[in-house]
Amino acid sequence: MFNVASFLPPILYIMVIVGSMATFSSLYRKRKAQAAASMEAWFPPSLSRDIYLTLLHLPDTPNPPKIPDSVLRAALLRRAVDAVQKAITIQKSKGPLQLLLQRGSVGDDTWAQFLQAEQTIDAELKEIAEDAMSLGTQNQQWAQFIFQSAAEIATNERLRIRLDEQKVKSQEWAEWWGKKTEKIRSEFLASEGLGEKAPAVATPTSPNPANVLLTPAKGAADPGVAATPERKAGNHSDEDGVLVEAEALKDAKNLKATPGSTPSSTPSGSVRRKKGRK
Amino acid sequence: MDSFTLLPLTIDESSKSLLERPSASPTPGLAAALADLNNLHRNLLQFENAIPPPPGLINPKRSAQINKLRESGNAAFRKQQFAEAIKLYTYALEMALTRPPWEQSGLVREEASMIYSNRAQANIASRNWAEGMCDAEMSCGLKPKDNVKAWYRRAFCLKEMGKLDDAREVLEMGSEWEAENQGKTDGDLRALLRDVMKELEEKEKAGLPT
Repeated sequence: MFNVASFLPPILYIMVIVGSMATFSSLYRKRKAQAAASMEAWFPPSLSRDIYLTLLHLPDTPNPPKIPDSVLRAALLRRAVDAVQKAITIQKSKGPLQLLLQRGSVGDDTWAQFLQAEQTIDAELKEIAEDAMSLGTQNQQWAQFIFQSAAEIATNERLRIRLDEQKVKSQEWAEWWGKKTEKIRSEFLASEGLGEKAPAVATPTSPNPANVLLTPAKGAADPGVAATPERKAGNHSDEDGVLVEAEALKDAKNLKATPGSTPSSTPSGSVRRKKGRK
Repeated sequence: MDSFTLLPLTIDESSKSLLERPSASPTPGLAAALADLNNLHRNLLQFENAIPPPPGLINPKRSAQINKLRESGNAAFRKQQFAEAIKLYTYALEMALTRPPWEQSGLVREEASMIYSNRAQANIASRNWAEGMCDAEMSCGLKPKDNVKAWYRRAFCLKEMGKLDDAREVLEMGSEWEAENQGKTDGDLRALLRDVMKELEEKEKAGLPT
């Protein structure tokens, strides 16, 4: 009888302590989970992951279509490409972010957000590896090289994007140059009536320094001889084309007097102007 | 993150390509992603089980074809048929750039940079400075190291177009990348840099008093 009475207080005490601890921990965890859930995701939701998982779950839906394994594999590969890209981003930004955190430029919540993203990506990679294992075959252990392929696809895609950007830039250049030559040509045609400076300007063209392969170019450019002088003229009328044009008349005589007087690669513009000053 | 968004997907039974079921609010980007995926799937069907081989294994046929096209381009160049050479290089380039994405990207860089550099030379020879500059720039971008010729051609075209400041910049950048080859192969670069500096100086001299 008295046994129970003497044991009751300690048991009650322990129960109260354990109970309060359990409540605290469950509340704390719930709050933490809530905070994590409300945290803004580091990366936007992955579309390729959604597609793959949707394909996996299609058999659960009413009158399911039959999905061949090859489609699943392609979808998994796309998902792996996205995951690898994100993993690389995480890996690259971890060091700098840590530094920023130490200096206090970045808040703790950003760091927590980052850590969560890292965990998510790790879990994602693991999941992909498992799925690749089950989708691979005896001779093709896909899990061993799916990430290699994915990384290569990611790099290749980035490379193509950069090349496309470059192509746009190239087109701009070609357009700019086309317009410029066009403008110079029309100016040249307009000023042609003023004097026969064309042959004088044309003679010192293409010094072609150091390039052996360029020598045949002269011959090849034969049909385009008419185009040569204005291209040459373009060399110096870059910024001050108007000035050059204004001087063209009197300079034409000077140049005529000294045809081909510029053996160096200097465009005739500077020579011209020097003479003008005299 | 254990949840996912169930997307309105269906499959076309005959072509085995995935389709988006029409819905009131289409998911942004889904159509493009599905197009990518279907494309990849079609390309993967050539392999057993549609599993692409590791990046190290490369289809030798394409490499051989690219090389052949490039060689014939070089031959045309030597015969001074520059337009023909440019055409052949362009074909080779197309082959190199459409290499399947699961094969090594380093190889694409290597091949494409070489072909671009060659095409730049052919463009220079036919006096297409702008095109030559762009090709050389592509080549430099793909492979900045050990690519003296491309740097030289890029700067040369810029100089011919009267962009002396840009030419100088390019030459300086090129010399930096080629620092390891200093004294060996970068002689042309330095010679051209001297020329450009001289021209710049003269331009300045002539430009200031006026």
